Amino acid sequence: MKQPANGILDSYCLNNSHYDEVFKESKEPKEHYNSIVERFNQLSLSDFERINNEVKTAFFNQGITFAVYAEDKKPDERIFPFDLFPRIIPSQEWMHLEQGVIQRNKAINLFLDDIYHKKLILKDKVVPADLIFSSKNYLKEMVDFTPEGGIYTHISGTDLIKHADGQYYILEDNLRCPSGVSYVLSNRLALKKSLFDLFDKLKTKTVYQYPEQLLEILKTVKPKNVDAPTIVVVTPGMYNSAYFEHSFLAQKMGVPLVEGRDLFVEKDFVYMKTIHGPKRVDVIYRRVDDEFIDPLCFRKDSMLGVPGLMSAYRAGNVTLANAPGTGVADDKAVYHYVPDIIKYYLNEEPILNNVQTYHCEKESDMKYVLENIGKLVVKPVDESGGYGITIGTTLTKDQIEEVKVRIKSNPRKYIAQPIMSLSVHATFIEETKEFEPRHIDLRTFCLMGKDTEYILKGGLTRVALKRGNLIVNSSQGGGSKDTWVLG
Amino acid sequence: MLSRVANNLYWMGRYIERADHLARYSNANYFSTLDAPILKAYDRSFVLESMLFMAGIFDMEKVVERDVLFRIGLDQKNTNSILSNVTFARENARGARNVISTELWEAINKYYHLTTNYPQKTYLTTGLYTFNQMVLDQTSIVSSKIYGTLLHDGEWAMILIGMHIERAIQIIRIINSKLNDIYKIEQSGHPITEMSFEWTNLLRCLDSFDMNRKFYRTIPARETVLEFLMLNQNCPRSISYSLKGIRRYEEKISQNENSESNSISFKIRKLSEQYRYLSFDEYKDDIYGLLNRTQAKIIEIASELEKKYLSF
Amino acid sequence: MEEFYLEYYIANKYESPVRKANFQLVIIPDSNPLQRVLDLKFSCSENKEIHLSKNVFGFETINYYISNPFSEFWFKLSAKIQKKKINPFYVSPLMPNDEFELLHSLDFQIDNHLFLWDTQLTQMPPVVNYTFPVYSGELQLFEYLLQLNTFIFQLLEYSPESTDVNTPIEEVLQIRKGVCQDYAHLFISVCRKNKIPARYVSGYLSQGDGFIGTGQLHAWVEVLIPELGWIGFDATNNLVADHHYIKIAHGTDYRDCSPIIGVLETTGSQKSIHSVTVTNQ
Repeated sequence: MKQPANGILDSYCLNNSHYDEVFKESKEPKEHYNSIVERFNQLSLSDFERINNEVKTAFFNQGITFAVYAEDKKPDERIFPFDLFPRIIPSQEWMHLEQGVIQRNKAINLFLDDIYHKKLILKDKVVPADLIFSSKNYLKEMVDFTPEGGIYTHISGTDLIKHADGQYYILEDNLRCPSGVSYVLSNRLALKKSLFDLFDKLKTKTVYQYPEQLLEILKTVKPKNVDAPTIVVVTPGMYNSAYFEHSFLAQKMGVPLVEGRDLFVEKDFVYMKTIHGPKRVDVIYRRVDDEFIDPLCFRKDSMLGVPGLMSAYRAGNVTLANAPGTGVADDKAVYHYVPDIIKYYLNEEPILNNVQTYHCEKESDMKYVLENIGKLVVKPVDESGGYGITIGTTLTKDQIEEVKVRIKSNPRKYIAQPIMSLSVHATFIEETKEFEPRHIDLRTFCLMGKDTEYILKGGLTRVALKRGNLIVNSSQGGGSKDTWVLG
Repeated sequence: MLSRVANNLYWMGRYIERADHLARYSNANYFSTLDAPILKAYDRSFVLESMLFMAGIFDMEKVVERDVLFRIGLDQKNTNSILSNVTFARENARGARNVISTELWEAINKYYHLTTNYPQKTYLTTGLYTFNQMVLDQTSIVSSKIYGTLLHDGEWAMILIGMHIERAIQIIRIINSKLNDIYKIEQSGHPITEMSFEWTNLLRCLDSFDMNRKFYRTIPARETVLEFLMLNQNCPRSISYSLKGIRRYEEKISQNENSESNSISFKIRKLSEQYRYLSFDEYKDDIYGLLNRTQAKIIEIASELEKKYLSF
Repeated sequence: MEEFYLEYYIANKYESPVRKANFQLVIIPDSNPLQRVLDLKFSCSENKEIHLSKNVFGFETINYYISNPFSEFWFKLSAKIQKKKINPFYVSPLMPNDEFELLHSLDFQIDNHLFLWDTQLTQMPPVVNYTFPVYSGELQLFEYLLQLNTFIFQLLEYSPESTDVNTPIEEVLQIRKGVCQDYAHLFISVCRKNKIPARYVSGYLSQGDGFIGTGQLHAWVEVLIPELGWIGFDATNNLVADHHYIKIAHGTDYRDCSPIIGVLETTGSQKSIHSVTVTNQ
């Protein structure tokens, strides 16, 4: 296809060492990107910048921001950068992803049920018992307790990347309080408002059912003997970095957004304090981590929790989503076993690939890791948000030695993976005023209720805005894109 | 409605109203007195002191114009500055983010960003009027979103009861503050007949000058101004009107549960009815006394309201 | 059968009023084949209906949510207990080696994992100056545990207030002093190191005879001996638990059995007194 002269994408520089989502090696756009590239090329740079600025202002005024707090200073409010060029996933490719994500999360749910009950997978030595029982996320409070409907991971966020071979790989599972879905919905809305004619070019699947679906899922796991459940979202409060998302979801579901201090437990029932007295709460979508939800049970110093909540939960009078104790399954050390977990429970081959993972607690793996640090990404198993990760190719000799010492001092704490080449996507860079290739990943959102499941068509495409940066988390300077799944 | 959210809505209303009155008072006083007829009694520090009195700032050793303006407008450390009030209003709105409309939230958020990003230097040199006007305009926008984009239910009534309680208190403060000014001028030997300028000014501090002229068709004077701002049932910035509002919104919140003689509903109704049937002659010699008693009553009602509905 | 009458009393006084509070008490004697609770009575500074919940291990807890301000909280429990008299000497029908084999089978370990994997309070420091008896399958498990009981009894000196409920084993081994929790945690830790399931027990110890542990709640350890079940060992007194030991609850360590946990909204400090009396009737 011939492109008009001086399109804003003309100056795009292909980097053939990575998989480019948008362009072929010939620099022509791939089939499914054709019409979008054409549309962007019709825009002048000044038009584009104007639209870009309008979108930024809109995000700011809507308060879709996260605050960086510093002492004695006004909190610095920032928007999570949004790139106008959407990421497009063809329908066949998506079907494959969707099946793979659902398969994985089903297996993980069965795994959780097993390790908290019969523990057959441990007795059959598919997963080492010590790995589970020594994990701080394995909760004795959940042993022999069955959550309503047998569902542990009502909401899960599965992170994927596309490698240089064009294949998707699972990067990690997020089974506690995965966040980011509010950005998916806000990004779509922002793009619709600013470049509405893009939506005439291609037909994308909608993302707007997510809050209703979440509400439906939560209703399926209401406690027994409750007809019309009172559902609430529990937030740590408005100084939490994901507060926008918490209030967004509560508002879109039409349910109260509550804090721990709004709730109390009496006689094993949970109540919220309203202006006309206590009102019983039946289902809690909680965005507070396990260790903070009940100071009588877990951390005594937690100001965010509800004393007695676990007792009410174990009495079957309230449902918590996600169930406590799911963190044991998204531990990076368990990640390695997920393909075996899928085979064990479902008797199926895993649809999506895992990244090869080396466990430093295994002697042979540790030996390999120590000898090949320069080619590996080393991650602590119990950190999230991209913290503590070292990437071999960026390390100096001294740093390599430091990492080695760290691994040797606590092998259980570290895993290593080959450096995956994340695919790149054309992204507008404000400093150069040009589109440049930047690394991206994809977080999918999967909901599971009693006899029902839902997967958000698309997900959050996160983009590393710093050139060459492989870490896409917002806390590390990442942005996001609208993600289109073609119908 | 969660008690904590009710608390957020109530205080959001109070802070919005408080910032509004501070801005109006500053503007009305500062600018209308630049060419005041009674110049002698009216040096700049006199106006600044009046503004400090209204803003509740009593700890300034030396009255320096820039400092006064800064502390009233943009001082983050002064919890009663316009900036602080707007910040608190927005924080409270954020705490109730999921029960207010997107339109209202965006209006308050925008108001906050305009205030917090207002260049300090501009404000202190040439921007005093524009800044205060911005505050007044934004308040209007926010108010229209409160009336036009929220379901008129208990949550809505919570915001409005906060606004009306604060308004009643601010009206009393403003009348007190101006009576204080007028007393000082009278003490300096000016004939009472020349005071219409000051009475006009008091009306302006409450956006009531035009209303007052329309109602009485005379030059503002002590009796007509005080009667108007305290007793008029139709002036939206009178004490009586504010009490009517408190009563109306409280009924919406309490859902008309039967009210015993020591209930909040009863107390509000009693106070509001007292004002309705009061005549100026009955209290003209005891203005200060009445204002103080009314203020004490309103504060008592507010704290009982907070205890009954807002504690969590 | 032997009958005991016991009383538990706790009173907390607060410097400034408490706005809100949650209390959880784990002090009710357990009902099990060895003991019957006959006459259980409560009284409390809060005139509220008592609600009993069950904790993770199925033991009854008393829970209070108090939302009106108070500056004093007291609670009193009394009960009559019937204890079955037992001879605290056990012989396993299994050969020492079979016991050992069973304890080392993966399925057995998985089934008893809660009492085999360490908690924070039962963690043995990496370097220890003492050689604890090692369980190797030469002795019967019961015999080994008697040895361990004596070893720990001799190793530590009982010294009230030398430690608190959060003192790690590392520190206890440094000062070689402790109270019943420390004896119990150390005992559990050595057992778990040797792959022997061991759990923390809280309870009342009958008065008289000059045992350590009267006047307050006591702590000991239960160990799972194949074919015999959970047997109690009290390293503080170098004894095997008999009918003088009235059990309240067990758990992985002290934290599962804390007699009282309070989550309070208050600013000042608090003063706490408690007393325990157990009389043989």
